[in-house]
Amino acid sequence: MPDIWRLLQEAIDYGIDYGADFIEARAENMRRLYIHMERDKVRDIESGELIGLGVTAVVKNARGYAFTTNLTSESIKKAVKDAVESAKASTKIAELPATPAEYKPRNYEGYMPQVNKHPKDSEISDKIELALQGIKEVLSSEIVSLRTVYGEIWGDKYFLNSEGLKRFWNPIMVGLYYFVVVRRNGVIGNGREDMSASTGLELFDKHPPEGIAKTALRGAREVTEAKTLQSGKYGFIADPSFAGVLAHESFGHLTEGDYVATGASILAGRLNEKLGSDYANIIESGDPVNYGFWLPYDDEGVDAKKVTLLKNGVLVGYLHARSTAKIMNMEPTGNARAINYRFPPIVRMRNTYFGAGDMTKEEIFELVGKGVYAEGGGGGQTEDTGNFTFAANRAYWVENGEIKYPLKSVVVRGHILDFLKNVEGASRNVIVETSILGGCGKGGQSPLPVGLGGPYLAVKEAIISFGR
Amino acid sequence: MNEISVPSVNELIEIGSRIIQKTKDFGLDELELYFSATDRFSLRIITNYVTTSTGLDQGVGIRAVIGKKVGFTSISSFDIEKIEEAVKIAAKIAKNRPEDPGFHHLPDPQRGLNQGGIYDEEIVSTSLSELVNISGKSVDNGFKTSENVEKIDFSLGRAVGAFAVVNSRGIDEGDRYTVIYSWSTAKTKKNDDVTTGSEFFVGRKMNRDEILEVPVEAVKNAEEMFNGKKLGEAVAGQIVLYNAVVQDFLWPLEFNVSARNVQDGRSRFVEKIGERVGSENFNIINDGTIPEGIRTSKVDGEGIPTRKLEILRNGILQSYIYDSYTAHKEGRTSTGNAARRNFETPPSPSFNNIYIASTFSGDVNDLIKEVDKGVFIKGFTMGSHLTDPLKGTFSITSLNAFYIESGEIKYPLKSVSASGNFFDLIRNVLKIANDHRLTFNGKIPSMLFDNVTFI
Repeated sequence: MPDIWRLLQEAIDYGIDYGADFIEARAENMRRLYIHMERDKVRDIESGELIGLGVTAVVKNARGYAFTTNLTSESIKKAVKDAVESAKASTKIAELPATPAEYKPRNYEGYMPQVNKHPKDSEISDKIELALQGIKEVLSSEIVSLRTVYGEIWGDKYFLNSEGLKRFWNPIMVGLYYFVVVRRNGVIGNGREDMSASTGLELFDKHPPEGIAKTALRGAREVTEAKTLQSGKYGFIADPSFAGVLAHESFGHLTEGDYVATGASILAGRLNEKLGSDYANIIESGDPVNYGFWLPYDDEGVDAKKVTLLKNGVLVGYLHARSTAKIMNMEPTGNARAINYRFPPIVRMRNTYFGAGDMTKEEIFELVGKGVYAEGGGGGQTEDTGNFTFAANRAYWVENGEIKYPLKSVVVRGHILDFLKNVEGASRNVIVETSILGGCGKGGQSPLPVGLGGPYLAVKEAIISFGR
Repeated sequence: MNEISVPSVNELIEIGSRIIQKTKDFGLDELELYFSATDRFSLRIITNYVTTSTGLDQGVGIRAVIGKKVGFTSISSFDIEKIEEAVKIAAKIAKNRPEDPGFHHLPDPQRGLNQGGIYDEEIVSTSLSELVNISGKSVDNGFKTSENVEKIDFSLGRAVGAFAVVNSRGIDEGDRYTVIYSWSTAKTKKNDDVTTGSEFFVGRKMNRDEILEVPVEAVKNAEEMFNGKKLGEAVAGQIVLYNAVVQDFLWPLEFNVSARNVQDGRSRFVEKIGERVGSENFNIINDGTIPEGIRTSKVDGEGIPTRKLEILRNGILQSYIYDSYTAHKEGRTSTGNAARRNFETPPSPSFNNIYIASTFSGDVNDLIKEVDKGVFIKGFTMGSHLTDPLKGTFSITSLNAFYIESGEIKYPLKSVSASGNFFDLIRNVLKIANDHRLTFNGKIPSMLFDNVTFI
């Protein structure tokens, strides 16, 4: 490996010489391994190494970004030139300045994941064994299809800017995913479950593959018995996973500084306004809490500190890169992320979750009494208008505070401001999750690893539709 | 500035052939190298906040085979020594992994290359500053369209690339491409009424006029939504899908005709070849040869010639789409449908372009005239990726839709959700227009379906 720090410094020096007012250079060496299994056979083993360097140049009020995978002085100089030239070309059309806000460097002080069994120290055969533990647990004659994916990503990230800010850290994530299709009484049902975290393989000591696979199987079986209801408004309970989809999709995107600074978000100009009930708290952080994605520094070298977005229903924060913070005269929050060297950092989320309340899970169920309980997210989408659509992984009908039967293909939709006002309670323990497969999409940068979660949430009513 | 320096297909094949030679004594039975180099430029304007990005993305995906054991690795470099090292890594994975009884061998060369897709020198030679200027002008045009414009979000991308596949069984093919695309969303406001609209353009040839109009159309689409109402109660009826949004509803088709999903029991079309899965008037072909098609290329991600392949004829399922792995399992040869997300992943079956045949010569307005009671979805859909391709249930919301009664648009809909099941939807095709639009997925016309619920 060439001397990365020397190359980054060259990029900075060359950029300033070439006419930039401010330069950031980042490099990464990331490894990945995905083991794909069909039933109990190994199909593909996909390993890879991605090495690249990217440069952001700010010239007057505009910024440009360029990258290269050739870590040579010559290629890096070309990237710097391209970044500076595209910044210069953009100065005419950039009305909102892209200059960075001041940042007094702070070190990340949140939870640091313990990595006892780093995946690089384990053989592929050990990982196959891990996947097989879950497979053997569920494989039976009712299984029509069983897909398992073991995944790991880890590596080195380097950052340097023309202010002399230097950062180095090692991203890590491991995960196991099961997708099950069963046939029962002539009916096909599919279910899935995923357990990932920014830790080493010790994750699966605490969360054995058998359990993960069984949950996926349960979901698949339930689909074969699931009932459907009339679409409409219902009382609603979200499990931590579904709460996470809500926090990330319904709220998080609307607090992203680029949407806010340009007025594109409906939350622009509404700081200190009460938008939700007293029980609605939403937090955003590089701290994974427990099973989220660990991010100590963003791709501008800013520490990924905890940001409270919603406090007892009041909007108290936005997510910022240094440039959006500058536009709004706020502090950078460490939310500038790029999925890899091919892209410039833009405002993205890290771990987004509903805050804890003071109820127990049972009390949450009793509070809602009758309605729909959604377990796990199936992804979702929110528009700048605040309209959202989210799918549940598994869902159940609840009556007298008890789960009665599974429901078909539940999709929750509505407007986020209505939804947050309807949060009636939150349980005490927050679980934040991430995934080795999939993530967040924005500006063509997908999938970006993120964490999302929360406690159990009681919601007075939500608009729900069901599969037919 | 930014001279595009993508290697030629022949240069990539050269490197591949050398590697095949140099690794002859690595103990492998077979070897495949997939090279990909793309010069990418992208620009995003959120109202007046601009970000640009440029660079040459390149790398190699390597499949090393020992018997029935395949190891895959990828690196982001064309350096011969690094590639050799990577071959060693892939070989080690192959050596140490369990057999895959389903694997037969890498593909053999097939004859019959098509002419490939349009490669536009003008896209290649347009400078970065010119692209930035066009973007600025486009957004200006958008704002000038109406005094009601509040915000415009605009994106422009240009990709110039080449790929090549070289394998130890004699395949040495590749292709090159040029793509330009642009999309825009606009927010308009009249009194207290705030509406949004969107538009996009994609092509293999430079088209300044189209790009300059994208935000204008987005604004017009937004303004069409003023005085929108909500449906109030659930309505069951017909749905007209504008060509731009058809794919949002039909994408589960690709999942279910992938031979991989079929063979692995993850498709509702298992054992359905020759059976009716769609309406009698529904004809779809997979076509890797359309000159302007975005997914056109001479060969697929394994170096196999792409072609026209009938998927649905009169609603009857004609074929699955295969890569070499799935084809060999059935004693066939690949249909040229092996795609890779990028050089970092091994191939798997995927459509080239899809072409849906029309049932008459009219356009979307003629479809609207046929609707008793229903909704016209023109654009701005959300939630299409939430459709479970195996269950088929969909619930897609649109912010650019209209209520139709007795063949006439009555009013714009503030927001409407269309629910149903994909497998029922394709059996309920009433009419298909002749207003094909080039999208990222193929040439898609507007369509009229029966039996969808709206709320």
